[in-house]
Amino acid sequence: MLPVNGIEHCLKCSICHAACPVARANPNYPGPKILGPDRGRFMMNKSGKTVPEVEWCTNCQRCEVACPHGVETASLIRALKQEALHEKKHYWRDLLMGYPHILGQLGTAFSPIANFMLGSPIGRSMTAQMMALAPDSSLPAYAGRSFQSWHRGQGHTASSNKVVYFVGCFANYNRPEIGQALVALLKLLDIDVIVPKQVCCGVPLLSNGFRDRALKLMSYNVQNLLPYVKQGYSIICSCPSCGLALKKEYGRELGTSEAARVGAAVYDSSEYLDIYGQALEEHLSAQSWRLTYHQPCHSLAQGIGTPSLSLLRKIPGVQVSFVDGCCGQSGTYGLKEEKSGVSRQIGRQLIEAITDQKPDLVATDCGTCSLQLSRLSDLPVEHPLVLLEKAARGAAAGLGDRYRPAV
Amino acid sequence: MRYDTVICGAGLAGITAALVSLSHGKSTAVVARGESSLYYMSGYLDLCGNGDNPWNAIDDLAHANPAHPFALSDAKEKSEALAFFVEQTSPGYPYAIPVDSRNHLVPTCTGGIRHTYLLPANAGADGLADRGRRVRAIGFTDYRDYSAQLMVDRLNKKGYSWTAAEVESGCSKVSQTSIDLASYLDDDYPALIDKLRPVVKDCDCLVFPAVLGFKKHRVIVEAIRDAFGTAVFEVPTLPPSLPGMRLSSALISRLRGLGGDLFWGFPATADNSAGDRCTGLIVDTPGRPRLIEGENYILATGGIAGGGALVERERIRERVFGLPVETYGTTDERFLFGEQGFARSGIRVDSDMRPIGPDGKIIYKNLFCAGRALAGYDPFTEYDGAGVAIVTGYQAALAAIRRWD
Repeated sequence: MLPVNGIEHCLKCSICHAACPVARANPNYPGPKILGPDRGRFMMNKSGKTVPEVEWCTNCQRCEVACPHGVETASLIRALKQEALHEKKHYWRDLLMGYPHILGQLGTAFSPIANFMLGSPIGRSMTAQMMALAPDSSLPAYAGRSFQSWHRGQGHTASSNKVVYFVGCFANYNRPEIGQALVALLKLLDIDVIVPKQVCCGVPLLSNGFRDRALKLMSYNVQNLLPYVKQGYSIICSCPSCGLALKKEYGRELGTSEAARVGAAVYDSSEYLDIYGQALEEHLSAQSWRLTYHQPCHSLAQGIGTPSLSLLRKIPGVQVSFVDGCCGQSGTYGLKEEKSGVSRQIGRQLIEAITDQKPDLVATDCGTCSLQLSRLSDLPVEHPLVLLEKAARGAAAGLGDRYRPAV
Repeated sequence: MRYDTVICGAGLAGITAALVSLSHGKSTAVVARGESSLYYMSGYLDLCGNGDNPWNAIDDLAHANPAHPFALSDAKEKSEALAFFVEQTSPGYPYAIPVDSRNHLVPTCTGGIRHTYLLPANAGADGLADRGRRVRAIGFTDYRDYSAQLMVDRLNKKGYSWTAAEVESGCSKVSQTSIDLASYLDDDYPALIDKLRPVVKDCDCLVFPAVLGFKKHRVIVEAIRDAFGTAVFEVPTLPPSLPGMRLSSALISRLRGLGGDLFWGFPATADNSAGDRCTGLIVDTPGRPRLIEGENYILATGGIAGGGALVERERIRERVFGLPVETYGTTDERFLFGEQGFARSGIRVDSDMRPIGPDGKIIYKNLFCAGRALAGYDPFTEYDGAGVAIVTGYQAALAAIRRWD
């Protein structure tokens, strides 16, 4: 593959470098300008040399969003990651963590054991040793029952309005409450939810350089989603990374018209609910929460504005402030022993900005962002869907459940 | 969601317009393709001319060239626009209007001297006023884009008696940019203060390249000031420009704080389906295009460098609406540093900032235009780029609000 993704438009203005959270936190990381367009020019000449520093990229895509000239820096860097795949120090760890849906099936099936391994001090230290994870990383606990399993037990409403839900591994195996909140909110709008067969969206593999393996998961999902798209259904993602992948990466990486067609039908959950904002607003009861909303990088990269922010502002009585920045977690990146320090360093400024606002509660759409924010700020963190559903239920019942690591 | 005002472009003109619209209680969205050219501007905001009195320079220009964007407003409106802008910067990165409404004299990083109007609080507004001032310019041995000695040598030829010193920044990065240094200092500025102790002597003012932090800029400047009891100011560096980034970030936080929506990172084109009205902006977002609709639209996408105008072999094209571009001169100008025809090319507007065609007719009733996209001025020779952006951004938003009301 010879990526040329807009290289010729690069002015070397360093805006991408300025936007890169990793370049600020890690002095050994050359940054997106050097690894993207600069290095990309060499790749066209097939110099054959790989760049080991490339694995520090978190794939947050802030460089690509910041570039005013449309250079696809993030995808250039991913191509370099793919080249450097076999020089990885932790090849097997990264590969294993690229299959969260398989880990999730096992984790929910054997949740007491899994949660002992992830949550108890002994289990966590063993897991960290075995998997080369940071000893202090907060690993998400597995739910006793996956969202998909819960949803199979639910009846369908008679509504002719239906949407397809691409659950994503975090909501499916770790926090089914997110999916349940979406189902409940859509029910208020008389919209029924279909959950087709699905596997991981492929982002964890893709971000770690396993492009060929990621393509297999992507094709599987396209095959399963396409029939619904052909019938005119929209696809809802409550995870911003799944959403961005389906909208953008599937079309680009698979290069098929089917993938593009699926991508065109995808909505972020808040993007979708925002369309029904007025109808939803009628159901929301007053709450006294003081919230800070953190927009995940992959929500920013979808170009949808900040629909979660506008929805949360519709809850009467709630104060919502906005903080800008990357939390540094980036999926499994912040869990890895060698990267945990950089991840924490990236998150520090955002955490300062959040704690300056003195919120009761932090809202963010991304599961792994919530892990990091909760670990570093010691504040409760919730998905906007969960908060909206609470407000809709009229639950004056306090704040969101504190997002906790296992046990 | 249908907005009262939709603005295309998040540079100086676009954000000023957005803040005006928000401060009048209008729902406002900004659509931007990426970061604005503030990222490589110095953060010195020129009003007009490289001389002592910018207001005389404005009068001269508007008199000599009735098609100049400054001819579309009087001095009072311009002052209001500047005052409004300065007020908006105050929570994040405060700028100030010069007390006597005259230009400041400021140094450049290569030891030149120039005039400018609005300065951030820590840019040493009085740095060059007193030739006898004992100024020590600090450079970093490991930052190759700036030489304190070069700046001091050239300034001293003009009658100053500055001194230069260099310290190691302490940032371990090889080949660092201004951003790397600023991020490093955001976290580790106390180490810098220790390194400065041996070299700070016999001076009442310290001058640094503009790398004194991004998020913690104010704290760092205060810490240095407190440690040495001297004045502290910054000189802009090669791009990327920290003063520009701080300004952009402060304005965007302000926009968010006032409830403005930002659609960030993707190019827009106009949906012109309804004849003489613009009905929406189509943003090329992942998955499918996104339609952003509003009552009124403001085009503030910048010129050639900012990406609003695309120079093709035969013509200059305006990217979003395909508006007619008034073109001056040809590309074979002989003198590189003389007036360039392309600089004055742009969109012609009526007195309400609405784009007009060669026949003088308004193109869209609900479209207004501001900033570098406008025709009739050359910021490179007139030193009025920031002034025009702020004043026309302010005017365009007011015109849109008037139409709405």
